[in-house]
Amino acid sequence: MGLGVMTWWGLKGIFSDRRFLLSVIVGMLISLFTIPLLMDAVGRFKEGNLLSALPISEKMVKVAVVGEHPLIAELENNSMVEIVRVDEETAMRLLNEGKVHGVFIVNATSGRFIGRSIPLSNLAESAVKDAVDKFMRKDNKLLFNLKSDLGLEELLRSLLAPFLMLTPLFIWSLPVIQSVAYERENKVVEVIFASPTRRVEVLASKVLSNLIFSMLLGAVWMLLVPFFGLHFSNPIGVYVILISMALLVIMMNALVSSIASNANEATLASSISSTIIITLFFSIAILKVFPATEIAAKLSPATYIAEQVSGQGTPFPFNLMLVIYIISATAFLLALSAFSTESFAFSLKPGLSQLYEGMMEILRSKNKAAFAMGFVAFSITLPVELVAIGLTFFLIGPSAFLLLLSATAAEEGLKAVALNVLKPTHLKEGAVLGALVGLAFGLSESLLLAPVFELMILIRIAPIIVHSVCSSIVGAGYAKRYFALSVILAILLHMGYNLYLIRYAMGMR
Amino acid sequence: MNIIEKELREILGDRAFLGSIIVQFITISMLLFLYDTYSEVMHSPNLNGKVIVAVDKNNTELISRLEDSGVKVILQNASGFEKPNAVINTTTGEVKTDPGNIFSGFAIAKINSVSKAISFDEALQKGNFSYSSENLAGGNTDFVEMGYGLIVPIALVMPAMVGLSLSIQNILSERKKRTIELLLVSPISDFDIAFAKTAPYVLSSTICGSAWLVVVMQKIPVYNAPLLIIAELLLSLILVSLSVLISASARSIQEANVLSSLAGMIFVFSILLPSSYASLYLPTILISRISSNFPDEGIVIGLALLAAAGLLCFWLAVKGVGRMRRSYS
Repeated sequence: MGLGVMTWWGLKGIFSDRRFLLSVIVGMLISLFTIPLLMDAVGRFKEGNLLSALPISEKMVKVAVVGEHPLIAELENNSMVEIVRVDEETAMRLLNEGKVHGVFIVNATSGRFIGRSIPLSNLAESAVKDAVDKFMRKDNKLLFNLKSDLGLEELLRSLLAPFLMLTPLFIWSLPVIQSVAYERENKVVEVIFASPTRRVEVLASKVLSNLIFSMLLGAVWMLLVPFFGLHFSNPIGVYVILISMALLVIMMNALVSSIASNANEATLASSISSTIIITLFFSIAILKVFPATEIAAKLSPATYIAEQVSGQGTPFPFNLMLVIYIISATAFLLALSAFSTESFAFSLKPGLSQLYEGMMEILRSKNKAAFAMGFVAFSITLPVELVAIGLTFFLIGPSAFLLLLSATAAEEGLKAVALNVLKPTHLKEGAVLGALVGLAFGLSESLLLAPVFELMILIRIAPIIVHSVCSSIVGAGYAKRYFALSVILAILLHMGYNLYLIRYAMGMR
Repeated sequence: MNIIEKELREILGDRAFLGSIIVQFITISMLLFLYDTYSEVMHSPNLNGKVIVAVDKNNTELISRLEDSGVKVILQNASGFEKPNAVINTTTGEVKTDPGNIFSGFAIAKINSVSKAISFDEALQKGNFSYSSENLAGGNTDFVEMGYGLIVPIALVMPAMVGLSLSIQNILSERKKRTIELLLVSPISDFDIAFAKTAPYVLSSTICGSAWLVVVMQKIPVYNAPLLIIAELLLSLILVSLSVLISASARSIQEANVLSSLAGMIFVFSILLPSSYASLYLPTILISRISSNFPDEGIVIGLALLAAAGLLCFWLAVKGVGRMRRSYS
């Protein structure tokens, strides 16, 4: 069986599951109808209180009204308040019994509010004052037009848009779990493995059929979304981002399905990995809120979608897409490594060393495996670095030195883990393998951080060399049984370079 | 009873359940911390120059009111290094904020509060109306809505959602291991099986919800705690029964997961629905009303509707188990 035939077979499998298709359509419809509701809620976010955007305070307070005045109609219009019309004696009794939050005694010329000295009485009183204000002014015009403050509102709108756009990916990328983890449990893959088909083709066909399915749904999604209020400056660019993200999530699902020991575990791990991916990119996109970290927000594809929603014609982030493809390819390689191990057939969770064995079977060269491990280390580094920086920030404080040290330690630590798996046996081999791990890591990092793709090598040559040298030291240290010492040395060297770079940049400024 | 005991033991030993308790505790603690900190900051008469508002001309009334509320006021285009969180154009009434500064939210809240106060005084003058108030609570009450409308519902909804997700995985795992078949071929009735699969999760969710309620009550004076626990029990019954129905009738793990995702999406969707008569009976709003009000007719109707929905979902779960039994036989 060829790749094409198996992909077609996979696609037929996805499309023949009508109940799944129906669920996907219902999920997309719910997401579509959520867009105008959420955007409307953001539109109502104008009075300095996010809560005013959501109907959460429905009939939260109860006010006993004594007397008649046309302004009571205004009070009745407030959805937060429930009013009871009673005489003064009953009103005071209700107040003392705690059955109302306040009493409003009103006549033609005056009004008096009596509370119960509890916070909810203040909320009831503010509603009464709003009603008096609206009625007496005869219009709703506020002194300050907070509606015109588009700063926070637009920011929130553009930040939520990518989140809404990417939500359906969770469901679109489920078929690959079904076809890897579930087919293994049903022993279907054993039949496929018995046929003269290469395992790479089997896994690739499963990923491809899910990707084609996502591409079709993505096209439908992009056609429908503008009707629900999300418009993009460059819809094709947004579509490419959407599909690239789908590819990443599918690859991650393929990886967790190949590693997990059963389908349930695969599903749980997939929801965790998808949540981490979306949350990670969303968190990075939020960095644009702070001027000092605005530039870092460019590291998230969500930022591009946000910019497209707010009508900015920003250039397509080619380098960022390349990084996403590198991470996807790395996930595929790892998935294939797990898929190729004996553990996969026996539904056992492979360890790191078994994954490495699987990788060696595919690549057939320790140097190539080292280069691939560099990409693996880089793929994990972003979330690990964020956690390390976050922990340092919350536990110690915003010390620039410690934040930089935690990021550096995370990078060198992950490269060291890769070398620990490669297990170089003598000095020269350790240095070469380390250099290759560092080279792959440095190249990926440069792709992500280079301001212009064409200038990547020119600007980033020094950091690539630093990564290679540091890892080379760790590799040599491992071979000579000075692993911990070599890791500390690599961290210090890398840190020294980073500090020099920062001082240089500050001097330039 | 033996099955319920066994299920309860499994839940208590489940790492996912124990992990979820930690996550829930962290979430509630964070929300209460934010609630407390924001209230403190808003109440502080002097925000240490953190909230700076620029005005375009020397409007003494506006400036003095803003300063009284703890805001530092500077004139727009005044020389100096201070960057304002908000700029007020008193001619057009427009307010522009700096979204890059975390204190801008406080600036908007303060401007909004001053705006309302000035507007209210003008309205009284215009309508020749006198107004007075007494017995109000001291301190800042700007975040009362957040406490009752957001933190209390989250504290009760989270355990119920965890119950839904855990019970789905439990039945799917039993279906996969085929241990469920032993139950289905035994003379135990559909009702008993559905009850045994539902009760432990409902119980654990209710206990969790009650514990979070005690935590929340340390900061927010919540009313009707027993009614809130009943609401939690009914909400858990609805969600866990739905999970039994989904996992019993789904043809594959994929389908069960998609359906449980849909249930979660529908829940989020319902929170965003615009205000209407029906929204009074939405679980989150009902919980918020119970926690802030003396029990009234509306709350009783809401709880009765929740109980009816719970019983309906449980009946559907029993039917789901029956269908699963027929498909096996």
